[in-house]
Amino acid sequence: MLYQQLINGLMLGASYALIAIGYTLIFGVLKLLYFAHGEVFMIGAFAGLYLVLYGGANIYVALLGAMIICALLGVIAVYVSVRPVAKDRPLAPLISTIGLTIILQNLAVYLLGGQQVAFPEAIKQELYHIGPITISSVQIFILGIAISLMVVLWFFIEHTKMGRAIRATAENHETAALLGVDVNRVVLVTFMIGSGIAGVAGVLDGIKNSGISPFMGLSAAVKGLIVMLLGGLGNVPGAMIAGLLLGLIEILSAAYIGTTERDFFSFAILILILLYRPTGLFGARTPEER
Amino acid sequence: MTMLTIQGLRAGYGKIEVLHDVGVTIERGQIVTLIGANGAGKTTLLKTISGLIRPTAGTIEFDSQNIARRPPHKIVGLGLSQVPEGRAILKRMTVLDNLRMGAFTRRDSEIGSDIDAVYRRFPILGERRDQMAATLSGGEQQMLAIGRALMARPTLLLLDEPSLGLAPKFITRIFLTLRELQKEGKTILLVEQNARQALQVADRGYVMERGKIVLSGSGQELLNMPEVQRTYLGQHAA
Repeated sequence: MLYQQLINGLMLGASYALIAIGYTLIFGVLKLLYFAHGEVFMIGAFAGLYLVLYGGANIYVALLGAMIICALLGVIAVYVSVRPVAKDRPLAPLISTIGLTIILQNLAVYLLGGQQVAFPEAIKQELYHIGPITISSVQIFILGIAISLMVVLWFFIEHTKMGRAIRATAENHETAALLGVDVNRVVLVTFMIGSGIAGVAGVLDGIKNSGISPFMGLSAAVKGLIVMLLGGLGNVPGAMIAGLLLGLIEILSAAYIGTTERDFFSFAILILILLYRPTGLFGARTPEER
Repeated sequence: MTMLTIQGLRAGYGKIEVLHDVGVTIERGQIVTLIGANGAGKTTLLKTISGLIRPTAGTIEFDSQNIARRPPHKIVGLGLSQVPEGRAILKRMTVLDNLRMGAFTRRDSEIGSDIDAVYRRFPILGERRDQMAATLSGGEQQMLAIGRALMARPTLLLLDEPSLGLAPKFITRIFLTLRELQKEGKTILLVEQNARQALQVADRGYVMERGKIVLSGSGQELLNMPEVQRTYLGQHAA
């Protein structure tokens, strides 16, 4: 029973982590709370669904397609809601991305209908028994994709030239520019990566819950935010670990205390962090820290 | 040969003009220093040369092309590197990653040997290559900032108050390094509050007051001028 819940917790946590990575990457380079991120996640789920349903795509192609579509959405977000607004007014991009959130959600309801839509069975459901644990092929698939994506992203951030440029930009735009970094381009790449990962998270969520709706973005956005705070603003590895942690906490509290209290625990954690550890469990990556 | 010619430069922040009709000339291989009180516009001038601030008028000719109004990331690649005010090292990155970032505009295969050259110049950086830059002392951070700027293989190096807040032994080390770099063929524009030491190493100096160049001459000439002694060397003048 406990092992089973641990696996469920990791599954839930992995999707929280994937959403929070985008939030925290974007927060890192722009100090911007990017509101539309939950809607990008929702659009990723629908992109995956339509690619499977009408495009006849297999699940890998659907994941890749959703990633690309969401990455392009990230580019659009930069051009319509970040670049045109004043850089020296921190609230301006926050409000313009809230506007983008509302537009994306209404567009999705208008085009896709307000109903929950069933996600087709994209992976053959098989059960494996390993000792006391029963794990399904779907669970292995979701965890496998999520964890490999995180490993690849970690490697990219830590060990590539573009990854270093992203880290440098997150520390200081002026310094990065003086070293030859095109900061606007880094912002664009960051939005593409964060949004692409959110797209994958959306598809994985569709597979896991076997249903998606245009309103799934809001709760994902809220959980992503909690994870970002828990992991430390702008801290990518922190978001990965905090995501898994929050998933475990939610599932274990649902299993042993009660399902109705599940969200109570997430928000209680949020409040405790804000009160006692505003830099998160693993330290924030914000300029104030310096 | 002239390396940098600034003429009629006007620049500032928003509607506030800080630099009023500034002109500066730097000959190849020289150390040129710019001295002046806080708020005179020295840092603004450096930021305008390196492209962080767009001038409203005037020209900045570097290697006989006008670089005024070019974005900063394009200017570095031309061979003009800045060591910013307050060092501005990337504290959450390792010493090695800071040096790699210095070579961001390069694509050649000699980056590794240039990193080794920085370690030979400043052995302490080699010992601490895998440490977060935040753990370095102020003097070590300044060495890292200079080493990082050198990684771009600049022909002109701009330094903004490299001695600020450093212990005397580090200040001596920094000024020695500037002389070494000049011998290696670099041209240097040095902004300093530490006017005496700056004028001693400089081939030429400019004095800035309220956004204008008010005096210029060789380092020795400026050291001997009564108005410079009174205002900038006052507390040291015997």
